[in-house]
Amino acid sequence: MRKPFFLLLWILIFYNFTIKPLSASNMCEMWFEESNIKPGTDSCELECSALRTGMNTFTCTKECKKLCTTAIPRRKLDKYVYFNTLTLSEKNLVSKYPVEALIVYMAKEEAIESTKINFGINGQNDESDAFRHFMWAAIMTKKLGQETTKKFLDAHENTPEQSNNEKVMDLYNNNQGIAAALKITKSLGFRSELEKEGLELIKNKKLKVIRSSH
Amino acid sequence: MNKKMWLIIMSLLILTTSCFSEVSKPMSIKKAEQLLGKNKFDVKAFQTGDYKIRAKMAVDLITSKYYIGKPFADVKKDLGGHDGYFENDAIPAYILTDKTSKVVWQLVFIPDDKWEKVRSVEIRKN
Repeated sequence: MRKPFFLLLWILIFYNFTIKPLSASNMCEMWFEESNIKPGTDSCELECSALRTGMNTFTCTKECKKLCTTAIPRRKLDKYVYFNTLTLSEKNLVSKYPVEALIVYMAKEEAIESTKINFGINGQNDESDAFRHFMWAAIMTKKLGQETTKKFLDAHENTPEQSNNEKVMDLYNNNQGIAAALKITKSLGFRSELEKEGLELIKNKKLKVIRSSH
Repeated sequence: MNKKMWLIIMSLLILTTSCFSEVSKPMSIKKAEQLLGKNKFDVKAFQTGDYKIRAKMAVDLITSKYYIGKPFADVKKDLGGHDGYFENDAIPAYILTDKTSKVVWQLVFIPDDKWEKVRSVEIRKN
C-alpha cells in the first residue's frame, strides 16, 4: 500500500519540476523568452510572428498575442536546478525517464560530495575529475543497472563543447566505474568499498587523467 | 492518514526541495566585491593569471556583462582551459579561491538552452 503511494508522490514532485516546464505552452514561453523580444511594446506581436520556429515550436506564433501581453514567469525548474546545464540528450532522457533522472541527479551529488571529501575540490581533467566520473558511474550502475546508466552517461558527454581528449577520458573512467559496481556485490558499505577501489585505481594510474595535479 | 504518515511525507518534501535548492545560491555581487575585490576585467590577465588575479576581476566581468549573449565557445577560447567543475565538464568554471580552503568558489559560465550563447555568469561553490 505504501510503496505505490511514495512512487506516486515522487512522480508528482518530479513532474512538477521537469515535465511540466517542458509542456507545449512552456516550450512557447521558452521560445519567446530566448528571442529577447520585449512584451508590451508596439512591435512585439509583429516581431514575434516573424520569429523562426522549430519542430517543437511551430505552433507558437499563434500564441504571440498572449505572449506579448503577459509577463512570462521564470520556469519553475530554473529556480531549483540549472536545467540549462543539461545537454539536449539529457533533457530528452529526463522527459522520458523522470524517476530514473532523479536517481541520476542524486548519484551525481553523491559523487561530487565524495570527490570533495577525498580531493578537496572538484577539478577538471585531473585525478578528482577521473574519480568523480568513476564514482558517479558506479553509484548509478548500482541503482539503475548498466543499460540505463550508460544511456545517461553517454547523454552527459554529448556536447560539442568538450574536446575529444576529454570525452575519451570521461568515457573510460565511466566504464571503470561501471565495472567496479558490477564487481562489488555487497550493498552494505558499498560506497566506502567503491571509494577505496577508486583511490587505489588513481594511485596505480589505472584511471585516465589528462593533467595530473600532483 | 495518520500523523506518522504526514511526518514522512513532509520530511520527503523538505528533503527534495532542500536537495534541489542546494545548487541555487550564487554569491551576491555585494558579497563578491567584499570577498574578492574589484579590478577591471582583462582577457589576457585572466587567462594567464592565477586564482588570486582571476578572483579580483570576477565582479567586473559579471557586472559589465562582457560575455552575456556571446558565443559559448568563445569563453574557453578567450580564457583558456578551466580548473573547476559545475554540473557538466563542458561548462567553463574557474576557481577563484584557495583550493585547500573549506569552501571553494568558482566563476561559472551558464549556457542558454541550446548551448550556443552565454546566458549568465555567476560565482558558485565548487
